[in-house]
Amino acid sequence: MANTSTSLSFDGGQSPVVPVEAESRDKLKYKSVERFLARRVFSPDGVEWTRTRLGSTTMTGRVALRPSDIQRAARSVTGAAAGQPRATDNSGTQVLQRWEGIVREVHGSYFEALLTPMSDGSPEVIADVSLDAVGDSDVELVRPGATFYLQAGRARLRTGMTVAYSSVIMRRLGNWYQEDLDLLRERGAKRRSKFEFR
Amino acid sequence: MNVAGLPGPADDEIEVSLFGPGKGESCVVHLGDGDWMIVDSCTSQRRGGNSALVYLQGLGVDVGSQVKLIVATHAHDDHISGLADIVEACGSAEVVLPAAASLEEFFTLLEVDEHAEEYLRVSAYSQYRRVFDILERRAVGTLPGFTRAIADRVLWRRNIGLRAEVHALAPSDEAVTQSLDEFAELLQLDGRPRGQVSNKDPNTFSVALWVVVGDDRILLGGDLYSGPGPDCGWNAIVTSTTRPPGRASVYKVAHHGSKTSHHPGIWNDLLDPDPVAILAPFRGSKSPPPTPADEHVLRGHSSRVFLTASSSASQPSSVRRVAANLGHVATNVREVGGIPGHIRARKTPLETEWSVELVRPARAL
Repeated sequence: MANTSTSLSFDGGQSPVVPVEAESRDKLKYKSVERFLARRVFSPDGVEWTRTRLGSTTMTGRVALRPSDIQRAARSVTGAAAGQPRATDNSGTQVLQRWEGIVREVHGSYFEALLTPMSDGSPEVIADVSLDAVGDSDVELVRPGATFYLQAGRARLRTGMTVAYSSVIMRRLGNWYQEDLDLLRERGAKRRSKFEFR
Repeated sequence: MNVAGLPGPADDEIEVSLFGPGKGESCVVHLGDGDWMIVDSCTSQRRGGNSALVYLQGLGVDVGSQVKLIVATHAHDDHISGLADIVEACGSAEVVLPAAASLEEFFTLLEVDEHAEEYLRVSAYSQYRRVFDILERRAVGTLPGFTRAIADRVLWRRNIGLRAEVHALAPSDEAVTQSLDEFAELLQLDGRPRGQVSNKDPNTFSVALWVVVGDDRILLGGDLYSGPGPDCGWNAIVTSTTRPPGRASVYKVAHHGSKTSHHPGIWNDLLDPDPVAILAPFRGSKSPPPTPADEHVLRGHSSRVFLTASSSASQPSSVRRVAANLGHVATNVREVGGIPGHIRARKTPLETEWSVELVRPARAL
């Protein structure tokens, strides 16, 4: 069967989209310079993008589309492939949930983390977070005990499509210094001296 | 089955109840004559409350006076979540902690953890600090303190009426020494990035208990590993010449039935043939124990193995909502714990078999 899909590059909402490479039969790849989106993948069941950079934050996301949206996206792609202009700005974002995360274990392509919600009464969960979600400069910070913020939300594009996004921000808390540790050791010894061990 | 309003055990009736996996697991033992012991702690995110306290209060037990012993087998918040609430409620109970918890390095670790908690929302050892705070507050005119559990120590004994004793089988001296090394390593922080104190499992110093009530014996395995080495874990217990004599007819399987705690000597030397084996699975990992292979091993040792829940369970809608929000960045989103099941084994001196009742999602293997 012929390979009918095409990878396309967006140049903001102003310039025509230009095909850059052929990919799989049922996917069309795009590179976007929208505020949040660096790359998107159109597929029959929706649209997704990965590895998006905002400052030092890398974001990843997946768009959940209704069938009608997919058809519209497909038409948009067709139009884009034909060199027609297409609006891609998003007109607002909505944060759905924030977590503070602690890395428990690091595996090959992901790390296991405990996620404590910061914003509502939803439960504490354990999840396997993709290392792709972490910016290149932050990857070295991913180790057991490291902390990060994770945010998930929705962004509405000018086209009317609502897309989901998330961000992983590794926390940089500075280093331990021997002076701190000496002080804490002293405090520990003081507390211990109050106790009797039977 | 709802435990509320259930009659408590008769004075001469032993009970071993196991709750889990909520956040942590908890074992409650009736030592006869209305005396109780609570080992570890379990809380439920979904239902709230502390499983052991809710249960005992449902039975009409005055926890302030009837709980004689509280044992924390090891130091992690995910095993002892809610422990401080138990210590607070059971005001006359002796608190037993692993011997390593008395080390200066451990107290330093608590301070480092507390310092980190100032800028993190979670900590590794907050329960221990709360317990120490309660013990300090409670001690008036005396030093606050706790009993150190170490192999071959009698932790509690009742000589009047029905004879009852609680022995520590672990940690061994060697395990405490190794714990010291582990703490020292955790404290090698100079120049390293700040973050949560590593909570890599100090199961090396987990407590294991041997409970004697009348002529019956119970083995509570904590999270004890087989080793490491010949002088730690089950290796040390099985070869010990100083451990209490006899064999137990109930075994709280160590470390959630994980292969890290499989040791044939437990079944060959410490337990009756075909004992009642009870365990709470662990849901925090990707391949939570007991795995099917672990279950196969357990079935080979006993025909009466009971789990407080399945290792894996369908996630509640609240977790599924979180998973939906995280769908593009995280997978395998799972609840910390779940609704704790309850296994209850009871036996009177005149009975030859334990009577086992299960509260869902507990099940027989």
